[in-house]
Amino acid sequence: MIIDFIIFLLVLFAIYGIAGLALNLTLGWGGLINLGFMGFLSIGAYTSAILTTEYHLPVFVGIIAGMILAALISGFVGILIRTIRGDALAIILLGFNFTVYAIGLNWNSVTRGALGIPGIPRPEFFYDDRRFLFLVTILLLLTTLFLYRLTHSSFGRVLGAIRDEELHARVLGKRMFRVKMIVHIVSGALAGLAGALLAHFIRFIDPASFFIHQLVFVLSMIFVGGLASVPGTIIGAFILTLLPEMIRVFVNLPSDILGAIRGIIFSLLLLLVVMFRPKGILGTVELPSAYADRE
Amino acid sequence: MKNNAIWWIIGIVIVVGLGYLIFNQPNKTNDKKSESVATAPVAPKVVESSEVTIGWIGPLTGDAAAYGIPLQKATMLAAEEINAAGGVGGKKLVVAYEDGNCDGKGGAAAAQKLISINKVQIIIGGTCSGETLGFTPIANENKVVVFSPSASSPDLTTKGGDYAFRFYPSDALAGKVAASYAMDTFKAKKAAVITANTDYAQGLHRVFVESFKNAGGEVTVDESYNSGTTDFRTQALKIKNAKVDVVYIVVQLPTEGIALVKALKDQKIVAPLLTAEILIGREIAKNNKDVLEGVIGFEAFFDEKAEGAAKFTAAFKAKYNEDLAFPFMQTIAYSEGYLFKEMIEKYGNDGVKIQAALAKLTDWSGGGLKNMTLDENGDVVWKSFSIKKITNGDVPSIGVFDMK
Amino acid sequence: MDLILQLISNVLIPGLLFALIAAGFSLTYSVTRVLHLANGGVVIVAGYGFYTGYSLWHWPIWSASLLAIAIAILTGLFINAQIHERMREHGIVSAAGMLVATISVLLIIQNILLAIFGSAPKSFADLQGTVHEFGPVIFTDHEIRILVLIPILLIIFILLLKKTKTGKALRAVADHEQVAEVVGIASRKMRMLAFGISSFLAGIAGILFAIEYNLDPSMGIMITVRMIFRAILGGVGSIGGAILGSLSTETIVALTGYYWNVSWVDFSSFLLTFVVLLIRPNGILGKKKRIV
Repeated sequence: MIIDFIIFLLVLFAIYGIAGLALNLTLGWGGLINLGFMGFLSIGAYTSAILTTEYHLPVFVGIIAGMILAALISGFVGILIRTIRGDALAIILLGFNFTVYAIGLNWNSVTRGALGIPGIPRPEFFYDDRRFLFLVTILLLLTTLFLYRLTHSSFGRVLGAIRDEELHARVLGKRMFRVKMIVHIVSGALAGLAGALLAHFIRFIDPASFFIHQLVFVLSMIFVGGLASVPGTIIGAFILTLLPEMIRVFVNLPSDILGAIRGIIFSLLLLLVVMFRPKGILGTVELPSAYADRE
Repeated sequence: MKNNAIWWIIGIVIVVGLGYLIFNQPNKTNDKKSESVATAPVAPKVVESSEVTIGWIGPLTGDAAAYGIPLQKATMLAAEEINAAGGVGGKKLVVAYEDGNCDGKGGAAAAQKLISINKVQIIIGGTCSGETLGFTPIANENKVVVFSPSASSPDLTTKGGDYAFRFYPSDALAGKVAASYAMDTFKAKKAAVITANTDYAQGLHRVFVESFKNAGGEVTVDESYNSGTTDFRTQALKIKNAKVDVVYIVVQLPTEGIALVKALKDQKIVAPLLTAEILIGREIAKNNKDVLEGVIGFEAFFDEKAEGAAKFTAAFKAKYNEDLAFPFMQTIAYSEGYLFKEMIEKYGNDGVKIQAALAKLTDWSGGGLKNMTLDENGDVVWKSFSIKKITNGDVPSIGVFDMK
Repeated sequence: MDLILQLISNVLIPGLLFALIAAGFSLTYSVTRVLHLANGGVVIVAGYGFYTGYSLWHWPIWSASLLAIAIAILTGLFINAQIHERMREHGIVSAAGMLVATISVLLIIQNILLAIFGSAPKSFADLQGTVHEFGPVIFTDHEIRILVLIPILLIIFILLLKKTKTGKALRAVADHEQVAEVVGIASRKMRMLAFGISSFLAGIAGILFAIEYNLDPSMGIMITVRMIFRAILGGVGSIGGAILGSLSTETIVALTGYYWNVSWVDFSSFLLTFVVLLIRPNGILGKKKRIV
């Protein structure tokens, strides 16, 4: 029976792995601090949830629709922000997160607001946990493969150039914009996929499921694993998904401060990783130090 | 090129392994197909042990911990008392507490852990509706009973499944009561409604607005504020300028409620302030008596002075040196301990048997509760609501409202 | 006219509180380059410090306030010394890493406060005082305290930065750390000072905030989020920007709340920030590295 819990966690790990890869694409390779990507997970999740519960469309249609919508909106956001740099960019993207949250919370007629969407169905063939795990593992592998190819191609080299030496890359002019747009769209699609999968797995979503706590969670994931490293993200997803659950299993006190203590342990561990392995476990990229004079 | 090949090999191995793992197992029931499947392996019962374990899920961190932890304490007290009196059929009662984070995914992870690792057949929880809806599918699949002390979303009635029950009335009722009262007692024609943007509050909001409008009233100000809002001066100003006959306040967190009422009072609004049950929580009324004076709230009718309830209140105070913040919900969380003691002693720690028994539960009394009956959806049958008015830090009842 | 005055009064209370918090945040950012997101945590730590002194130990207001401020400063300095200075020494920590670190600190603070004080909200009703009417506008005693104290503090703070030698040293480090060192300014000390001052401001803000809006452990995150948005709008690294950013955001919040619906206030304040950043990517008063 323990296997059931493990399977559950593995599914979460795979889904977050896909989300992490999406984020890593923009951050680790694109050098873009995309704090708004939870918004795309939310878009993917809600699209699929609404299409499958309200309109009774098959789950696969819902998931693909979610991916497409998320990709389109991500592309659109990419166009909007093309002139903004640095901290302003990070904040704007964070703001996008808030926007999606606000819309989800207030557009009651479509999203049911704070009540959320219960009763989201599982996919037709992959209905139980084990089959779902099979599905998400395949998707994770495909995503990994795809990104690996993408970033080790000439496209990837251009990305690396943009990240590391934006000044030089600007010489490439229009091509840079096109490259960035591809990054946005692909990342958006993957985030939408992860969001939709999450919706169909947990079978309940509400706007708060894709808000600040989740953002911190996924950000930590790719950071711990190592930026710009595909295996690193996978490892980061693995560790971060499992860690709170292991703490849950091994830290047990019949006490009213149990929750707080587990929370402290988790945050402390995370903090220690940041402090003592700042590149992450398999990180190879040195993003500019946060503490140096920044341009 | 070599790297690539390794990835491919790893990938194929994983896929094949998983495929084997999956397709060689007996099928679990698909939640879309009907329930009559022969081979659904259910969590194996713990055979012989000197302990009986049940699960508990609720928010132990985050802002919802303001309710989660008091409920946890209530259950902890029940477990302590039960064990001191000999346990459940002679065995020690162990409650495994898990943090659901008031969130679907948190609830799901908590429940999965409790079912897979602690092998529970019963889960007391969740506290929040979203949390509960996150794990009712898992519970239903594993034939584990879920009994919430406080989830009030109408969705739980329809989407909770056969294994979900609650002693706490659905929002669908309380909202109607408030609207009727506003109409009957205050002859209100125009109302202002200000609601927190959470599932619990929005459920009440929806029902109130519908009922009020159906009775011919007009909701001239309808605002929903997001959690974490601290400043309500503007909203109070808006409400004052709208000159309404009654204001219905539905808050999720006490902190916001207190700030909101204060802002309304600062604006010298004289219209009666109606609320649901959070703001009339005893501790809150006591600690904020000046601000909350005169606020009228509606809670499911619950006799705190009745013997069992009074005993619980006293025991809680003795153990934790605090009063009950949410008497009704905490009494439910406490009483569920006794409910399951009874159930387990009668039917064993068996989710299937207990579910069957609960589906027919009529007039049950135990812990601090009396005469509880469950309907065919697992909801509690509830007819009466108390009307309470905060007076000088106390919350006396000024009437009882019976639903037809 | 009445309405305008009322709306202005609504803007001032949270506007000034957040101006104070954001100003401290901007200071630390410009001097140390650290996005001190845990500042929200420092604010509520001060609130709980005040609670301990005033409500638990029944000290008079002044002593409880001193206690609260002291705890805030200690917390801020601790965070700086133990976390940021270490990370600086240890090597390259990227922005993502720093974010994760400060957020973790914030969460740890919240959970510790939750464990110690419990989840029930704490209030200070007796300190709010009575309501006074000034024509169409309404203020409680406590709100008057806010209206008077905070501008004074901000003015003193700005003068400190502009006129004193220490202030100049801080600004020197903010402008260009390496050059400042060459001239003999101990940048490490300046960083500590920046954290100290910002925590002092956060401490006062925390006390005022707690009395006005009550206190519970999970408020830290919301305060932090609001703080960064206001600081960035005004221009991170600029004190005047922090003030302007806070006031403008609160204005939009008040207008949206009154004329539209309170559920959209976060959205419209974001929209404002977005539009401003499109025109002035460094915020209203932001210049790359200046403080004032």
